[in-house]
Amino acid sequence: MRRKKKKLNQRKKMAKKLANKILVIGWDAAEWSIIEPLLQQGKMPALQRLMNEGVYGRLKTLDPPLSPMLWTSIATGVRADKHGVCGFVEPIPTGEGLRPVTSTSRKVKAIWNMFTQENLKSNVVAWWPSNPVEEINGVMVSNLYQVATKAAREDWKMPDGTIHPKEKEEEMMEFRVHPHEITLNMVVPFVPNIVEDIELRKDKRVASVIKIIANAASVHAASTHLMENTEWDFMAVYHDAIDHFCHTAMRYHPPLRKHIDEKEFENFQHVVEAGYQFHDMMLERTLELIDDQTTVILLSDHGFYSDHRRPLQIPKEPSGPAAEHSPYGVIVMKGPGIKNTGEEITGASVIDITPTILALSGLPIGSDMEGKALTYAFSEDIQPEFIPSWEEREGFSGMHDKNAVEDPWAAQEALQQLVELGYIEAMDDNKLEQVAKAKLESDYYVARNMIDGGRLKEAIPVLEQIFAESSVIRYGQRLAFAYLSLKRYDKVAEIIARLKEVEKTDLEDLKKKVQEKNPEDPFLNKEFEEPNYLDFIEGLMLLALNKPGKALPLLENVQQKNPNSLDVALNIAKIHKLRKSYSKAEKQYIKALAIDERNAIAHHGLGICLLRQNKFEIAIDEFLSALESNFYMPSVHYHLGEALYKVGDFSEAAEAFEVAIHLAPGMTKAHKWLFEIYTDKLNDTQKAAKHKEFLDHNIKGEIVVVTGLPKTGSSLMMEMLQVGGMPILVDDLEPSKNAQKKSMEFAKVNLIQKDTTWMLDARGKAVKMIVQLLNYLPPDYNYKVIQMNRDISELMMSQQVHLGKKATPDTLPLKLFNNYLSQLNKLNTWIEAQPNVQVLKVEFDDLIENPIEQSEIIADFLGEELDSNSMAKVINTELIKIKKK
Amino acid sequence: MEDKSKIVQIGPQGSLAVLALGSVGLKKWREVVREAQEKEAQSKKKDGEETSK
Repeated sequence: MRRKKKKLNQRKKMAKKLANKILVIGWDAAEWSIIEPLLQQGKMPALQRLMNEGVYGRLKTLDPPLSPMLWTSIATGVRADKHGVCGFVEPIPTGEGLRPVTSTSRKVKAIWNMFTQENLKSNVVAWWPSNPVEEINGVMVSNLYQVATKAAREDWKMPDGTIHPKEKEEEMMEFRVHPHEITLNMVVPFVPNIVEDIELRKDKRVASVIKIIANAASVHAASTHLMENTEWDFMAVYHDAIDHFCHTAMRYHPPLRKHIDEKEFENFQHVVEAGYQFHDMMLERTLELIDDQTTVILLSDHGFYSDHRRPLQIPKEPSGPAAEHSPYGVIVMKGPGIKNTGEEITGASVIDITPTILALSGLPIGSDMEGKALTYAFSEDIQPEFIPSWEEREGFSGMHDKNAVEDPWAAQEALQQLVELGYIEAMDDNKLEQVAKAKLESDYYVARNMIDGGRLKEAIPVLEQIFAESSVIRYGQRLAFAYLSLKRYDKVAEIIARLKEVEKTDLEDLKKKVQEKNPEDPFLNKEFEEPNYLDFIEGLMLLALNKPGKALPLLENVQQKNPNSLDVALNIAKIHKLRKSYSKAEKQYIKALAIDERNAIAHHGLGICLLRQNKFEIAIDEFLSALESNFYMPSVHYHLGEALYKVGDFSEAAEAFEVAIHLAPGMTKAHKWLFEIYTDKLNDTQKAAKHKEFLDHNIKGEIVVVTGLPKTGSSLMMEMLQVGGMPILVDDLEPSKNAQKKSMEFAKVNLIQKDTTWMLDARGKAVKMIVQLLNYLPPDYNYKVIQMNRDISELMMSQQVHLGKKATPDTLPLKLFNNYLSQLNKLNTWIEAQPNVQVLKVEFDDLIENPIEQSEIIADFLGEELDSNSMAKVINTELIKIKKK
Repeated sequence: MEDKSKIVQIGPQGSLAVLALGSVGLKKWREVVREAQEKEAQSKKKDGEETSK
């Protein structure tokens, strides 16, 4: 009986078809910060209903936020290096220049190919890129369908490759709306002044608005026709109009900014809002055409800055307009399989959409897909099924064969539209050079996509190559950041030096051009006009090298020039928090939240500052806000527990600590809190015993290991920790034979190869260990390693003096020098491979020069409330003298 | 299913509401425009005939 019950439970969790029909509506660039006020004013009722009856949330974009790459990731579940759509353009295979990226570039199956293989019917309308169309089971209308190629409607032919199946071409032709059909009535909601102002009707922005309305109407008419007149299991409709309205007129969206001309503001301030309302009207109709068996997923690929974060100018570089894109789009889901609670969901990314659609459909997810199914938004608790890859699944999928071609004329018109929007440069005669530039640019996007996916090591060779080939500063910047993330500081310094060199040459070139041409020419703007980026990289590097004092002025300088940089504010805040300057840190976190009000790191940081200033109630609010944005942060739950404890809310505090250890089971300090709360406050002996058992016997205790080559200051560090309040494990505290200072050693450490029983006593304490023994540390503990470093030649001189030998830089033993270097390399390689080891490298020189700062960094690393001032006092004048020798 | 094109008022000048009706609205609107154009042509023809009289 018991076995049967278990089986039933298992079945409940297995993959299951939750949705019969799925409709995906793509609104390129839709952004909550524009939608929210419209919802409040009742101006988007259809979307409001969808949200109320389903779930909604922010949808994280991928970097770079470029639409063809993103919509292909949305449809495939993988990033650009795998799916092959790497930007806006691609070279024409015959070498005649560039063309808009086509569906033939896609190397993997899209969701509609997977459905085709499953014998399910799909309609796909205007997906970007979908030209030429694929022979799927269903109807496909390509992204060139709505683009008018001729001035007159009668001359506007339907190019080959626009509609599948071909016999539907004629039927679909009539749903295309030509810009000439757009009437004054239709444009008035966008530009009300055109009624009175005849001249305004000739403005190129009005022409753009007309074109965008016509395109949107075409896509909507085609999709509604197919919804009503075909059978389908899956339907995907993509609208680019919101993105295009925003690129045309977001600069005029209220509030009026100082640099915007008032007359222009007056004329174009309604474009964006009218665009959203138009989409809501189209949505209303779309929702009327579905039955209650259809699950709707409405989403955008990225957002669009609509407030003070709007860039003052668009960078003069390929894909420059993407600077207006914000990192979060929207997602709303409603219908069978989805919770109907109207609640907000968090943690969704565009890469999750295909796995989510597959899971809703009861189909397996490819293990090679990079996203996850958003099962927490599902109405039923299911466990999706997995297969290694959809690419290996046999059967007809409708994907292109290699010989597929497209109409070059239609493609040329679409290319022109991209030029008008500023996404790509106008073609010049030197097509070869343009193709070569486009190739570099597409490699750059792929590298950024890899970084976004956490694959830094794969991105670096790509960036190295393109930076070497082109000396484009953006490529070098990205390379420096990649090395910084990998803690390859030598390489960061090298790239910074190269960038300075390139910048110098570029500036000279620029000066020449300014002298030769009109200095007012806006095209003479430097491509790399991101303010003080070198200071930013250097500042971050210094911070990573535990030199916050040197990093701070650089970052403050960057902030002055670039006040809307979130990363800069967060890093300055981190420095102040480290120094326990909580009110200064608080200000920076508030600044960061003004840039991104939902930023979980900023809410968490602000909460810690408030907690440390005993402002418990508001600290709790901040931690809860952080968790609203990202629930999966164990340290936020931990700090929330601490704050709740302080206000006497013990059962809620216990709950928070329990969540923290659920997410990070090895978090010893949370177990300690729980043991104390269950013992002293809640009288729950059973639960207290559970945590006591963990603390006594669980193999995942944490040990602080202080290490370093001889004479690098490891004994000094042990003493500092002891004085600061950290328990230490030593044999005795008597001075060693050869020195007046205490050696701070624990003899059993040297027997670690044979005996590790002493390690139970080391939990929660600091112990000293020589570098060579570190790789014998058993894997069943967590370690925080403080690695003492010192200039090797300097430390060898110190050793020679210690041994009573004569020492000058010329007489140092080379063999020993190389041996030390090799030991350090081995140590670093070993540490990198250990998931249970966190390391803090402390430079001896920094310790001597900035003892308070370094003590604060050490305390922060250990996560302990150590007395930094007492720690700093340990570094006495005697040591400074030794250093000076 | 409700035929919205019967509820939304469709004049020859069209509107966003008409476009938002999708294929049905578009078809209906083009019909109205065609009829209006035909009427206009007829009345012009009529005016022309009357003038020539």
